[in-house]
Amino acid sequence: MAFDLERTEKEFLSSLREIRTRDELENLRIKYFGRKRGILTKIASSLPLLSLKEKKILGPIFNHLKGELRQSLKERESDLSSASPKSTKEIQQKPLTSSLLFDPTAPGKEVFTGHQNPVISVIEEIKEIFHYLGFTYIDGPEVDLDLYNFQKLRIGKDHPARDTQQTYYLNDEVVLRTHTSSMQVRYMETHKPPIRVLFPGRTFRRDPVDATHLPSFYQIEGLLVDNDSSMTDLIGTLDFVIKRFFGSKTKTRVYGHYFPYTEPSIEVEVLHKNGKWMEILGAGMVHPEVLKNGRIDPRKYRGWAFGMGPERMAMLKYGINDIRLFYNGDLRFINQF
Amino acid sequence: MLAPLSWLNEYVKLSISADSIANNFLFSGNKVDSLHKRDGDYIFDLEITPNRPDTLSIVGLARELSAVLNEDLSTPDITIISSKSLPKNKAIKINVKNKSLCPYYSFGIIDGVKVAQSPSWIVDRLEKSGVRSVNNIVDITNYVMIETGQPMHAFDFEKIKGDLILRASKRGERIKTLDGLERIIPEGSIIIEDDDKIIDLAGLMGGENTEVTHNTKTILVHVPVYNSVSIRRTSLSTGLRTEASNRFEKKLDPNMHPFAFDRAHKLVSEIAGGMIIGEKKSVGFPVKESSLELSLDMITSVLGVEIEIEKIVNILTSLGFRIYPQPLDKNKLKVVIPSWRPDVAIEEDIYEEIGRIYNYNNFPKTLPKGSPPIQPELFLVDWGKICRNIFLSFGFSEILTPTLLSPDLLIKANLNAKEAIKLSNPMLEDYSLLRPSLIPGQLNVIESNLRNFDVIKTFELGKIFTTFIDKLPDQPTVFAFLITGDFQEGKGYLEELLKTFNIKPKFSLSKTYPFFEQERSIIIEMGKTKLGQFGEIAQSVLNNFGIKKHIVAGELFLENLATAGNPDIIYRPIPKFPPVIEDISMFIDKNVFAEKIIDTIKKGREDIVSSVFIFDVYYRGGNKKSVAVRIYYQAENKTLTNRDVSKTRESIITDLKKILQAEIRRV
Repeated sequence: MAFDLERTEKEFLSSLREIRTRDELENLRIKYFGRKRGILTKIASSLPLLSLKEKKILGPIFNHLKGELRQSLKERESDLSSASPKSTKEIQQKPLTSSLLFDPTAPGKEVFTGHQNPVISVIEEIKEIFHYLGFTYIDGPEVDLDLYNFQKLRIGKDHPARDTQQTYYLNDEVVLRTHTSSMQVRYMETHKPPIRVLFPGRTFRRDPVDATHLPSFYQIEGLLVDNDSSMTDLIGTLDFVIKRFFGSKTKTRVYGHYFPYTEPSIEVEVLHKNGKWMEILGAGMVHPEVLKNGRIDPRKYRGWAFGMGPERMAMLKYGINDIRLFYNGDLRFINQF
Repeated sequence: MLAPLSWLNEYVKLSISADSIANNFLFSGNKVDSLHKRDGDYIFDLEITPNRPDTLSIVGLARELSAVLNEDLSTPDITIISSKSLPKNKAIKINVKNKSLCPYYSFGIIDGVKVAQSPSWIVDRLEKSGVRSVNNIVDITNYVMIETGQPMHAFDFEKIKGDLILRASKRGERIKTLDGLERIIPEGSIIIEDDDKIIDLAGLMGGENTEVTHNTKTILVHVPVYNSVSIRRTSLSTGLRTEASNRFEKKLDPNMHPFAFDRAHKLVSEIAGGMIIGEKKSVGFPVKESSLELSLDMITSVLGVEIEIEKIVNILTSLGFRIYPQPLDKNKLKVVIPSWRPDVAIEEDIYEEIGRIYNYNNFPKTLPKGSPPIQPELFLVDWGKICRNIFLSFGFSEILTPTLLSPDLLIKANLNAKEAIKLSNPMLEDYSLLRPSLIPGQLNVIESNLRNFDVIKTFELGKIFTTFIDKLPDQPTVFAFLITGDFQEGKGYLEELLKTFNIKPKFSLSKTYPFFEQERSIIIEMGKTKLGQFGEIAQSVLNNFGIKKHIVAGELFLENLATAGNPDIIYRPIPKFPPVIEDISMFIDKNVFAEKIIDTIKKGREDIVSSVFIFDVYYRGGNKKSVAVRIYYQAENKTLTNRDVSKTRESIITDLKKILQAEIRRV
């Protein structure tokens, strides 16, 4: 066969898409519909030479196509006239497709974006919420001296509280920090009050691995020191942060607890959708001895501190039940965030 | 700590539901982990914090409930009905060698006991408290321990030879404990010995040689308060933890031992029929209670809520504190601390007592007062976040990998596992080394994801650990990225990242690098500072990980980048004059690098040649390759004339021929 209707249609439509002026449009019309040399005119004149059988099939298809193309040409013409005649650059670039091929239900072209680990998203969100309250942030050593991780926080070598913080050691003096509270005294030693700062970072516990325990995980420590801080400020701040993070109707409860480095100490729980209370953070007023260890005069200043677990917060927020998912790198998981 | 409701109810009236009691426990700081129903009774499983051994007892927990619920507290009965003690025909001395090992204790000999099974109410309470019944004597010692928090031990008096010595153990001493195990006693542990043998691994478990059995007629009941640190050390080094050691390793009430002895004596006399010979002996009793001065203003200031003085006094007295007004200062109170609360030492400890019993949930919620302080960290550029955001926009996903790795993983990445920093007490081989690079962990992740994805782009921001500097390992923050792709694609991302730091570091070819293919990686440097490395992962490493795709990876040192980097963008005016764009193609020695060609074209012509790109490289064997470059001629101050361009073009061609021996194909 001397002609290919499908190709002719494609070529016509792609040329039509490039058209920016009326002159170009007129040239295209002549190219296809011109009385003597128009492509479609030529095809029409060759149709009678086909066999009867071919004529029966191709005749109606050709006529249909011719109608379609003429219609497209008209649509394009009206597009051009509706655009400002002064500036050809502002012509609407509405993509043109034959109405036969238009399928609004077909999926769009797939776009690939990067996804952030939800633990990091949580940390970033918490940083932002606290930023509103005037807190800045900084991280420090993950492998730290026993001195900063324990002793300066009133946890001596023989303190029973060490039981609750199973510790990895490099040697007698150096530990993998068991909490970001190790940053408290480090920061106080080099900064004068007033202090409002977060210490987000990785921490380590020598726990058997299961759905809720990993050898390394993140914590966000917060520290405020000024001359006027109180438990009501601490409880109010935590309540605001939790409600901003989990939703304004989130239910929380606070109860007394024990940490050697805060006095009084509290823990805070959030009511989960499943009806269970989930502990998400520990907090308290900085113990006067800890302030002293940080070279801050406890007679002039007081402060409060807290520590929260971003994994646990992400688990609560997104309904994740296995902490290992955050760290096994499965993109089928990460791509959901 | 397991506490049956029925037992608590004996000392404090509980007319509310078990769930309500659990809530009241919680709000006072005694967290109930779980609540079980058993035989019509309820058992509370409480998490006891290490500062409160007084609540490792039924009486202590009842006291907490009495304070929260405002109910009266009663104490265990110690009155003995037939109070006639036996004549003093038997006696023993306990010689404590070092007073600090056992500063306070009571003991006495009880004769005429009939060892038998305990009555069912004792068995029942012990079982609900998680303790197995043995015989009536042993059960009573355990019962009183759970009730009062004071552990004690009963020896078969007839099996003791002579008097007793309590001392620190020497190296290599042994004892066969009640569980039938022959134990080597850690040096420095507290032990009790008689004239010819060690009879007690004090605070942890008694010796089999003086065990109370069905033939026992006379018992020695010893109620000590040991040095908590010694007990803890022995417990840690033997791995033996008992109900007794869990209490002894904390600061116990120094004044409880005579009472606990009397309570045990009463129960023995009633249940096993024994009676004391002579009188009990108490040493170091009583310890004087300490006191502190409490300022009412400070309570309000620190807690942030004003609580009426009557309420404060009520809370403290119900917990056993005694309050006295200070005649000269209305703002102050004298508080005498009960002996069972050695954890209370400073005023802040008292604020906690008031706060927790008052209930923190009744506190108003306020925000920090005053304006936010200006702190130095506010002025730091968060380069880590900038790196993350750029790579997220490139379509990379953030993958966090473990800090602790196995030697195997490092070996798979051609790294020397022996050079990595090792934990002194790893739990598993899999988590025994600190990562010296983020790449091995990331390769693991890529391998597992290739089952589900064709194209993988990952990054991670985290610390790595190299050599020790002074006492701590150097722990730089590293930004690592990996893609399934080729060198050029990866380098595009790398260069775009470096642009945001506003730096143009030097790239130099690295001959070898553990996990990169030989001569297929570069080192990125700024002056003498190494910023990172980038290259193709070696085929051997890909094989080790079972990865059947090409991977390129980069690792950049964030702190070094931050030092070199400059966050300030300086706007450059958009060129006013149009560029002239021309292509030159040439044959050139196959080993001449692109950078050399571009430099040759640009050098000395920066005012006219605004940019140069290599857009085609074609090589099909031989010594030469074909290279096509596109040159943008553009001046900031004028439109270039044909003459300007042709003059420059000629000089470029001359340099290409002379310096690089290029053979110009087409201009």
